[in-house]
Amino acid sequence: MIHARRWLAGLAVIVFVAAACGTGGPGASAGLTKVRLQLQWVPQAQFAGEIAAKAEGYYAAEGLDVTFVDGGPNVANITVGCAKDGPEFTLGWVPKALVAVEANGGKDCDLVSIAQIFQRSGTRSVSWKESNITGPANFKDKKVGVWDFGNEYEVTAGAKKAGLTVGTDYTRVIQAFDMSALLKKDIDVAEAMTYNEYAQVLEAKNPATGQLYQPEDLNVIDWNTEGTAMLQDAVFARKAWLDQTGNADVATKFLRATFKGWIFCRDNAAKCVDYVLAAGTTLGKGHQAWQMNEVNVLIWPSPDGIGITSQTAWDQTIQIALDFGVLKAQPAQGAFRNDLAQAALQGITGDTKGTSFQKGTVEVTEGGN
Amino acid sequence: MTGRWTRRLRDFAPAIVVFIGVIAALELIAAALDLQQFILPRPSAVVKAFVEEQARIQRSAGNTLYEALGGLVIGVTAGVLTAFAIARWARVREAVLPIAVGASAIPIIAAAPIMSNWFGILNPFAKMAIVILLTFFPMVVNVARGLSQVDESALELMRASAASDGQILRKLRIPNALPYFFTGLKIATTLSLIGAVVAEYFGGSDDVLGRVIVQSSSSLRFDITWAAISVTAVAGILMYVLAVGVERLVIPWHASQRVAET
Repeated sequence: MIHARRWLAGLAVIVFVAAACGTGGPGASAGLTKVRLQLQWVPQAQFAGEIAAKAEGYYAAEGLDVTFVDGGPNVANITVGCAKDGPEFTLGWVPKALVAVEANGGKDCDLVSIAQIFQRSGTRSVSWKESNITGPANFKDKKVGVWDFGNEYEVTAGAKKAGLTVGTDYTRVIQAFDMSALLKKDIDVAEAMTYNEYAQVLEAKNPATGQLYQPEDLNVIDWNTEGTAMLQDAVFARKAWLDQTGNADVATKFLRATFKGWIFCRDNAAKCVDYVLAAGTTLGKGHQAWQMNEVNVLIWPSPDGIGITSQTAWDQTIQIALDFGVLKAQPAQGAFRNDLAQAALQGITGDTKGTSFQKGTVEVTEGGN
Repeated sequence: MTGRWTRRLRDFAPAIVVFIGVIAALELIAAALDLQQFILPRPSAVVKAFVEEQARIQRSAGNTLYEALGGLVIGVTAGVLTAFAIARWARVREAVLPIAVGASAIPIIAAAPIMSNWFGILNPFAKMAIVILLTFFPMVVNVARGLSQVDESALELMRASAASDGQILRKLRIPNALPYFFTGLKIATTLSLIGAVVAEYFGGSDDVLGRVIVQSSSSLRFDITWAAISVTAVAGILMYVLAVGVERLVIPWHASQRVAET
């Protein structure tokens, strides 16, 4: 009898604690509101703004205690972000999120883009100079590498725009998340992000010369200029969560601190690289310095202020997604909103547009160390 | 004949009832709790996805089966040959067995990208290599045991009758090893599909079950994911059943088979 009562008491405590933890909403702890941010990948300079916002105390100043949830090759960040008890904020690419929302009828996944961090696409298709592939039309009869986690649309859309059909005109090859297939010349073209895999090629030694590969050894197709670029890193939140009282305010505060972090990294790139390294990245300092430099180019200048989604860029993303069968129908009204980002920009003193931003130069180091 | 079939049906009836029951329960639970589609899609949605995506799933299943079967044939053949060598020469046993044990300890997830680099990301052999790594070891261990652990008295009798080594091998060791071989083969059939799908996670051709699973799950089409997983499982079961069928044909005299018949 006594045992049973003790068991019941224990059970009650467990249930109570679980209920307290499981509310998912903002619970006050030490005066700070706890929120989680699902990163798109492992910690790296791609998220330097968020990492700096935490390190510089911008989140705390807004009354937020932000926990980063790591992503990586085996984490479907959008799936995690869709979950009803998932992180409050998710960093992800716009088309991938839209596909997830559409596939679930907007009911099981109701992510809304609340800030467009990257204004430009960092996706490139890289090939060796001697293959003479300067545009998607040259993909004919080639082995074209892409990543298939929803990261391939810009490349496949570009090929389709050039009149090529996958399978008959070119072979679509699924790349691993490194550049070895291109380095081995196993594939003719490789998809690469300017801030990551492109650098990995330049960080490798050319066995013919014994020196690092040079940009002159490569042809690079920029999907921004080919007209099939799509919006990438954006901050998403669940509509149901945003609609709860007080959460729009939490989101605004989160965005304000995040924007400040990115402004800080624009003006203090070296300091941000240190913060990223301290956050436990697996890649070396040289690689992170390169990445910081390239990521800044994707954000700055932000003509309407950092975080504001350009209707033109949004429409292009949707149009490509529709044209190439990525989406079946126009996303519902309110798939992105600028009001929270606008409110966040209020109260930031300093340059939120970076009109006079100039790209820095970063020396490539072997192996990115 | 009919009596045998009804008996067989009676044997399988409980399993069939449980299977249908679980499917129905999943359908009801998913509907009643209004579960998010990516947590548990309804079985009916999975069937619908299978019908819609049949062309791609079929094509992918063919390619994945090719990798699995190719790797299985090579892995089993190499395993059996190695087992014969091990059973015959102690030197080979000392030299090869530690390496075989070591090979079996390699996490295949670590080996998959390396195989892609060695053999080419589009080469099906890169995927087969993973299947070979997985299936080789159970074959070596099982067959080697079957060849060496023969009845001592039977061996003495044959020696006393001046049987040659070749005769002992044919008439005693190989028949003794057959049940062990089939035990290894049955393990290897299911391992081969697991190996092929895992290897496909690390890039290569587009039209394979592993990629269907990765691509559909990353766009939250878990109905397609479950359809592809079901096809993989059915293929694995069919290969297993095939191995059991061959076993029944080859060693109907073995005790394990007689038990199954009663």
